[in-house]
Amino acid sequence: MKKYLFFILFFYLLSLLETSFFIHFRIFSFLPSLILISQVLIVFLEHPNKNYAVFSAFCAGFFWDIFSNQKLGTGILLMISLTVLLKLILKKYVRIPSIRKF
Amino acid sequence: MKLTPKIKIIITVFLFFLALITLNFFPFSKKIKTFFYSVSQPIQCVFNEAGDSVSSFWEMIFKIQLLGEDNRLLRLNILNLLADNSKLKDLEKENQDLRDALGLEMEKEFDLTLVKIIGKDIGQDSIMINKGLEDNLSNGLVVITGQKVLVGKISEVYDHFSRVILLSSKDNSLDVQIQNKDIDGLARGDGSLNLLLDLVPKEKEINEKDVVITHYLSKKYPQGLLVGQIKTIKKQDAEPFQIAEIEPFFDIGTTETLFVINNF
Repeated sequence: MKKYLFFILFFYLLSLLETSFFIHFRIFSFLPSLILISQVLIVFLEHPNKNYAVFSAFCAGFFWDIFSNQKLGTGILLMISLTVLLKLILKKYVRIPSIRKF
Repeated sequence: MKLTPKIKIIITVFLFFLALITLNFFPFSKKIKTFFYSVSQPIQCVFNEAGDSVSSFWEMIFKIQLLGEDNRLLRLNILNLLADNSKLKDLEKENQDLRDALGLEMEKEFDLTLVKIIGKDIGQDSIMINKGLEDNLSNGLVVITGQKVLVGKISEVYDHFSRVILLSSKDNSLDVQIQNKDIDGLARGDGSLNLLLDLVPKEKEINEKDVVITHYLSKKYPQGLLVGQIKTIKKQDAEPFQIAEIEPFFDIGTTETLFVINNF
């Protein structure tokens, strides 16, 4: 339960930071998506047999949709699709034992 | 029909996304966004201000090497503005001089050309003006100020500028008279901006502060131009004439624009 709460708060704050704080630090008018980077990192750090990353993908997509102009659900769909794809690749083809923390 | 767990998950996910997409066609999705915006606004304001100040600081650090170039450009702009300002002041001065001249109705009396002093040589009692042959100026033309004060005459003419020898030049002399008195004399330059009144008979009484003007007999200069005022009078028993020192009215130090009389 704590992990779910952590993901909700984490992506909420990250969305706020990305839309209000980091927006001032654009590099050549480009700002990398911290939400996307964070979600990819979570997927890589999570054990392949656990599925917390799917929930975090939902949170990431949801807050991404909320604080952007896109339709509600678009971000969620993209994040979950990406997470499932990455998890499948990691589970079947990649082994990185040293960075598995979750 | 029995559903396998995998099919159940797929159906659940499909329905979930279908519900999310359907939400966009109702005002409810807007309400969700509005709720999050209103809750997040105070935090976003704080983050926004913090981001702005932090980025400004770093921007200043990164751009510090450009400050030199900016400084140079700004200095250049200042110089350009000063030049523009100077031009405007010159125009204002010219305008004032023209107004003064028109006030004295000199334009009715003389055919005038407005000139500007571009160089002064006090040691040789001469000045350079900014007009020459191309402006129809020629040797011997008389130069005056806007107040009808005689300055000198043109001694050399070039294409775009001319040299004017001042009254105080040792090469210059002219017939003059004391204003409102029947006293004639010869004004001659003594160099270094000094002017002397000579050939005034001893019996004629001249006083300090008497105004000296050009004489009607003088063919080189129009009559009635202001020359100066008597400063000191020197009477010597051995000499048949008295000599007086004239303080010229023209002030070459502050004058910038003059008029050339083309004909009179």
